[in-house]
Amino acid sequence: MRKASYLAMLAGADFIKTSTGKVAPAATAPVVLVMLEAVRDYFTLTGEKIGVKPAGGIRTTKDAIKQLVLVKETAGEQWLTPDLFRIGASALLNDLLMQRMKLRTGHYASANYVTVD
Amino acid sequence: MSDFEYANAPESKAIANISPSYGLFIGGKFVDPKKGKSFSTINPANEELLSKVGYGDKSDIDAAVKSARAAYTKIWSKMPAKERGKYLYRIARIMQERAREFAVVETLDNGKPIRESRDTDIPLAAAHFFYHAGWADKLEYAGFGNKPKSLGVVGQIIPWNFPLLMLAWKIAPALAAGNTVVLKPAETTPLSALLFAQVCQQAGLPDGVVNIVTGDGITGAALVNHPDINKVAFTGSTEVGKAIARSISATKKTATLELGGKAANLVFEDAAIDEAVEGIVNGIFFNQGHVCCAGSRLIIQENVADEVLEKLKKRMSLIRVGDPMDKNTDLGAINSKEQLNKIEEISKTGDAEGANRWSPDVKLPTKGFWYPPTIFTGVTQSHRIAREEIFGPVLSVLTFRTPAEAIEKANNTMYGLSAGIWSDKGAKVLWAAKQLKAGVIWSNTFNKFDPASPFGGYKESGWGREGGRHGLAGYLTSDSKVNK
Repeated sequence: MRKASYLAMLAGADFIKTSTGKVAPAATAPVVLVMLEAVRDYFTLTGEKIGVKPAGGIRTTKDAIKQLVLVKETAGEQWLTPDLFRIGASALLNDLLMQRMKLRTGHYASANYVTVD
Repeated sequence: MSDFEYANAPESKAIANISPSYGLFIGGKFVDPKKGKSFSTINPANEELLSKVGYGDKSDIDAAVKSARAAYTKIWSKMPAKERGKYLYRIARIMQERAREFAVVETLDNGKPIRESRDTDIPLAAAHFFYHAGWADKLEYAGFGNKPKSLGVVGQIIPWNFPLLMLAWKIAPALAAGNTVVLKPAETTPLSALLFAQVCQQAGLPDGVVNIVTGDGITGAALVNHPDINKVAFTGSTEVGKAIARSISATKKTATLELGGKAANLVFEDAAIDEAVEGIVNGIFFNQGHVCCAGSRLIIQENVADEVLEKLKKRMSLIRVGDPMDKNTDLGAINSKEQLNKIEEISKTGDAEGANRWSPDVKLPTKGFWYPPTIFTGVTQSHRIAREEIFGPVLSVLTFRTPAEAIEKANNTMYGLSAGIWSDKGAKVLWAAKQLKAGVIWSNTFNKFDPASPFGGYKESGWGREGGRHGLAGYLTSDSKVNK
């Protein structure tokens, strides 16, 4: 993982991504950790910030928060911006909408209240 | 404050349900100490009083040993081994059921982060009872001779760093082998042992099989010197261990002693550096460094030393120090004022002898006993901080050029409890493990414990092993005369 990350960064990538997201398993915590360590070390060596995009397997808001903690603790807070960290997860969006609905109304709605795309 | 600050996530104190006072647990009941004396136990994170605990003296120890002897001769030694096993299983299950309560009590009394008591101490303690429950009826097939016998009454003294876990390491094998027990918990952390006494009652364990007498060093000495105990099992400082060894010499008593350590954590140039950094942090900052097998001497190959130290410092800046009851806390409170003084005293010699101190910028709470995560670089073998056990969150960093030098430095200590090796090359790990004089050696990991794995040290780190088949051996004999 680390070597693949370095190859991509040395070849000029602006973002490194786990996969298309359509295969499983993809963006597991250990994999994202190694990629974040790679961009952190690359920044120390070159002064260049490369983005990370985990995709596949991050389905709930809770999963997403765990990913954000991973970014904060590994690459650092400056990576917590859309330019440097994105989550590729269509399923996640629906869960996020459901959680927001719950914050507004106080209870969970049926999954059918959010659209599947 | 940034947008990504963590919110507090405190565990509830109410779960602990601590009584304002406790008696001594003798003969299956909580009784008042004969002299009526008691002492306070406080929360080291804020110095608030938690409870008043009975102070056991010589007469209380005598009552406890008598009760253990009666339970041994009348009940426990006659009971079929399978039945003993059932009690141990029952205790293990109740500990699991009440795990959250145990975790909160442990954290309040000890000062360790709730994350550690919840995820390490309590589950491992229950695992020890499960593991030894299984042994109870299989002792004849374990390679201890045809009919191994129990020893009798065992006096056990445990430390304050892992109060319940050390209790489990002591009581589970003793009971599985058919002995009865008088246990003295550490002065600063008696509460989880008293909660365990309630578990014994709940499990219907016959009266007197487990007796728990709280007190201080004088109580412990009375237990060690009692004429009617067959064995002493002690975990604590090398100094006290030596005193115990002296006082049981020329008696029939046997002893297992788990004493101090000054573990070398060797990082070779081919190690996975990020993993090693995690291991170093776990090795020395786990449980505030109050770990006898803590990786307190970091010995790094010279050509990667700068990289390792830079990453280590970055990682240390992320350690959250503070309220042990917060689920996000990494480093809790130092267990007592006395221990804090000791850490401060030895660390100061590091400054005086010319080592370079570094700590991340942390804000320590004003009440309670606290010490920041600290590393010393530029340490040499002769520095006190490289030779003596600090028992706190203080790491001494040394370097080496050749593997032979690493081994020489690692073994140049009066201790020999544990060691860590970080390398990508299996052959190098096995070679180093063979050279190191340490009872436990971790390869590319640190501070991993399992009831099936024997734990113990060389040299001044102690006598005997605890855990696994080797640990059971300390509670059994093939000599048929020993019980008489």
